[in-house]
Amino acid sequence: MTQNQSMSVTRRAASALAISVLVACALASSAAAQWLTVPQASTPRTPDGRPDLAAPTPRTPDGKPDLSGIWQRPRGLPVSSVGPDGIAAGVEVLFQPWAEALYKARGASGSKGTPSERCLPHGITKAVSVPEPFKIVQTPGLVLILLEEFNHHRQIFTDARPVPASLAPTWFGFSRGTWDGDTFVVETRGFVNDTWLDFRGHPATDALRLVERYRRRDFGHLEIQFTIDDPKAYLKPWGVTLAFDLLPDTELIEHICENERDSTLNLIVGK
Amino acid sequence: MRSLFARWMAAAAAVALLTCGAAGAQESRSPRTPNGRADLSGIWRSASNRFLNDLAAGASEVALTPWAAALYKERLASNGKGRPSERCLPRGVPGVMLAREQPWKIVQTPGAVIILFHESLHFRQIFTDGRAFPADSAPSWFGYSVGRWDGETLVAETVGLNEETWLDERGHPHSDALRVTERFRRPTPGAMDVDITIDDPKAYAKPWTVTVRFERVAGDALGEEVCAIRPAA
Repeated sequence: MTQNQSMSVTRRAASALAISVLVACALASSAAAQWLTVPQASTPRTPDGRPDLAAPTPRTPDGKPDLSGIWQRPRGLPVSSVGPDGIAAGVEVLFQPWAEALYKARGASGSKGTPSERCLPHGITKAVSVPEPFKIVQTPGLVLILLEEFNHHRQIFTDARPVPASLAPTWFGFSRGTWDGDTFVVETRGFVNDTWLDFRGHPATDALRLVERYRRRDFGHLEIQFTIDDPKAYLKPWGVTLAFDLLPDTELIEHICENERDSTLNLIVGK
Repeated sequence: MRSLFARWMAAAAAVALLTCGAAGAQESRSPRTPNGRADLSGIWRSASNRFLNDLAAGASEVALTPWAAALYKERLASNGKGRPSERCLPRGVPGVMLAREQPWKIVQTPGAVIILFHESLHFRQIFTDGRAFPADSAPSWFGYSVGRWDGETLVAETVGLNEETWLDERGHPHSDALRVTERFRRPTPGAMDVDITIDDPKAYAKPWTVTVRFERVAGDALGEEVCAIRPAA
């Protein structure tokens, strides 16, 4: 591990520690030096001044739920993406034969060759199942997802634009979002042909059509239900729901992939 | 009653005039957000690679301090060997803005101006909600940026930049004391000028400023480019 990576990990650990300290003692400790405290006027508060995570779901002027905020997998849960079944824990996944063979080989090799080893993007499901938080910025016509890990971004168009006739394959695909009542439904196509859905190594191909259903239950809690529909890799669509907690009154901490420090340089530039 | 009607007519006339004026001036006047700010939204790219190659091109006086001069000389002598972008590392601020082949998209929200980069899928946030710089944050590749509006101009200030980035491909150096000020203005709908001021008393005897021209790129999808490391086989 490079010095920078270990610094980054230390910073996040310090952050987690700082949060525990804050929750336990309601005291800002000097351990929070790397935790960015940015009080937001929009944060609802309990009478004692703490963020009220059970307050009602905020809404935008047009009455839709406002998903904006900084979200993170609940602390204390194992990182879903790296468990023995990856994000598919408790889910029946019916593979195409080649995909099953690849999945088993990845398991046998300890997930060697995951794209992020080379600083390539995680892709959608893997990016939100890491411990690092992400930020949703909901604007009219466009929802942004800013990922702390690798400092990558994703755009979800909500202006009803058509899917381009020709889609260059990308790690995050081309995403369109619509509202189904209070649920934000995102459909994404146009993926590269070698997505890893999780660190365990569930494969996906350029035939992947990913549907996400976002539900913000209250101020402090978000759920995303993922449906993986990739007939080249799986016999039938399968899905998983991940929960996220709001991190109130803070900001993302930059994290840049610097794995090259450990490797001989040999760059690939892809578009 | 009569005076109310007269006022209503005057107001309607004023609105009509404003509307006509806005429509007539569309070619020369830059767009605005609903709250009346200049609207910088859209995809932009540098008009040339001149400033990417040499940020000091056209600056009247750039006086390096002795250690910075020595480091710059070394980088010039090696043709910029070792620049971070060789290794897929970010160009930092302001370097990330400057490559003509790497457009970026401004998403202007009420509390932040967010810049999405084609290069490496990175992003920057310029907070315009009145917050101060954090008292203590670790140095980073894009630093910490806060912005305010000076009339039509977005003034972004960035500190907390790590010492690994180069100001340009030639290798103008900087220290951890670097403070970058960017003044974004949109003289016409199709153009953006950014005055970039480099204020780094450890590396330069005094602050210096260049003005970089950016052009609007049609559409707003941006696309993605990734720079990956392949360990040698």
